[in-house]
Amino acid sequence: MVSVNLLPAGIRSARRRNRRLQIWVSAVLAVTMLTAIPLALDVSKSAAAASIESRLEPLQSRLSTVRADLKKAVAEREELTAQIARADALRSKRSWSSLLALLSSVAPDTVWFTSLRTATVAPQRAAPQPAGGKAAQPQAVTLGGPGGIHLEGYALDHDALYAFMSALKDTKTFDRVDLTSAGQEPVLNGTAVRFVLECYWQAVK
Amino acid sequence: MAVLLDRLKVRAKAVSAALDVGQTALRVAQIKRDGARWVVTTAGTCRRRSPERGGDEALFAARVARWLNQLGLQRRDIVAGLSPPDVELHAINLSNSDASADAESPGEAVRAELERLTSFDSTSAETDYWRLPESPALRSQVVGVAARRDGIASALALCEAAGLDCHRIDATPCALARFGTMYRGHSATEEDVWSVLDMGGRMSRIIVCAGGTPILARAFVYGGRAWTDKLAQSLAVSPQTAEQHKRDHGVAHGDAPHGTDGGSAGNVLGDLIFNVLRSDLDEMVEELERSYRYVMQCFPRRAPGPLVLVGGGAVLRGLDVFLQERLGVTVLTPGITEPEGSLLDLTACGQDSVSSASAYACAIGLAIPQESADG
Repeated sequence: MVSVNLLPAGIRSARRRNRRLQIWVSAVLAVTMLTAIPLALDVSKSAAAASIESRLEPLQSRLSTVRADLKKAVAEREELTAQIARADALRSKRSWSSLLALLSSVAPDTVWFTSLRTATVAPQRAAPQPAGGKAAQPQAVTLGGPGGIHLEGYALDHDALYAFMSALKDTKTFDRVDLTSAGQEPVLNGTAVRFVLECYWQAVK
Repeated sequence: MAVLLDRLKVRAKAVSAALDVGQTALRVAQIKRDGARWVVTTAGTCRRRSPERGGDEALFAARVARWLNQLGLQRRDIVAGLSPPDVELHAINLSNSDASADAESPGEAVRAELERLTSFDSTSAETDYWRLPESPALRSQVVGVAARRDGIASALALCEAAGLDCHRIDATPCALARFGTMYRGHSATEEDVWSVLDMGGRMSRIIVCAGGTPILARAFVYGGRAWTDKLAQSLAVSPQTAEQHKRDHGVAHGDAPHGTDGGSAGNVLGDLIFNVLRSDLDEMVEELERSYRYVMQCFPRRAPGPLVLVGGGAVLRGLDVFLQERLGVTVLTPGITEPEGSLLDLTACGQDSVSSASAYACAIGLAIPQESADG
């Protein structure tokens, strides 16, 4: 097929020059862009790091403040915990007159007591920290009242003892009534059942 | 990178646009490659108004720029086409010494010959040429093309003002030959002698080709507006009515049926139009026969091929049948006849495809890249 180009030679060569120039400019731009991208990324990252650093300083001062506040709050919490423990211990204190009235009301006539004392609970301390750790911290002491009573006495027979134990349980005052020991012993002209009871209080709500 | 550049080049070549710079109107066509075919995606006409023809090119360029923006061309680099009288074509018989001295590039010899042959001042002309197929009966070796520099400058200024980058200025006869080749598609052979008859508003021209090469390009004054004016005068009607009669009734000669009217009995007006235009039609047929005969004598071993009828004047109803009967060759009209294996899809030219597809033949031919037509 045939075609002619009547475009003046000057214009054609100018177009060729322009096209070559465009190609060169495009190539230079492409190379520049390819080079500039990593640089721009570096600059961007540096700017981001500087920005983060500038924000880090106030955050660190805030962190130390918050840490101090936390320490204070922890100390307050421990103090409150100790107060709660003391309050619990105080709340677990029993009224002995009521207890004696209760015992005499539920004890059958064929049961009498020879000994009544509380089952003492010693103050508890947390386990000591292993050596080599941080400096030993003072451990909180947990106070607690007596967990129950230790009751000794005699019953004429086993039935009376068991009736007494059942009546004690029915009062709902004790969580557990354990018969620690029971045995026939001569008393006066006859025999009686010597018993030892461990009675544990109901937990205070 | 090289693969990417190649792909970009292929992609860039997938769309091509062209501007046919006429005396009375600009026609633009944009085509897009679809496999081996080219599909016309955009086509439009911008007519010059009377005051703009007086030389107010800036006003016209501004209007063209707006018009092109509305069309939404994908490409800004285009091919512009110039037609006679801005270009002249001359068959040149190079002397044996010139032909052999620099057979590969006889540009200087062609320029010298064109200086002698052109009607305008050849020192202010741009020239180019194409080679003719070898034939013992043909004395010319090349066809030289000379274009007025002021015509080129005017086209370039128009493109620049419209924001277009003109990368080639072609001669419209070459564009019509490319259009005809692609339109015929696979039915075209390298061995036949065929032609394109472009019937414009002010003049008509015939380009006779051997294979894909234009051998002869002639212009004559028949057709288009001259026939409309003649009909208006003879029938005592307005030019608009005469143009409508051309489209609706066309020419009916003798008892030959035309169009879909069913025969001459119902087409008295067609007979009347034919009688008015008879002398012009006869002379045109003689011109065509003479042109065909000349090229056939130059290439006696080749067979006569079809005539492709294009241009706004091709809307004269029944003209294709008339020419077919008188010339004895197949007449193909884009928009009506679609040759089997055509490499052009003209459906986007408009619903009134007869006039549209024909009218944009030149612009479409300009847009067809040379390598595409070769391949």
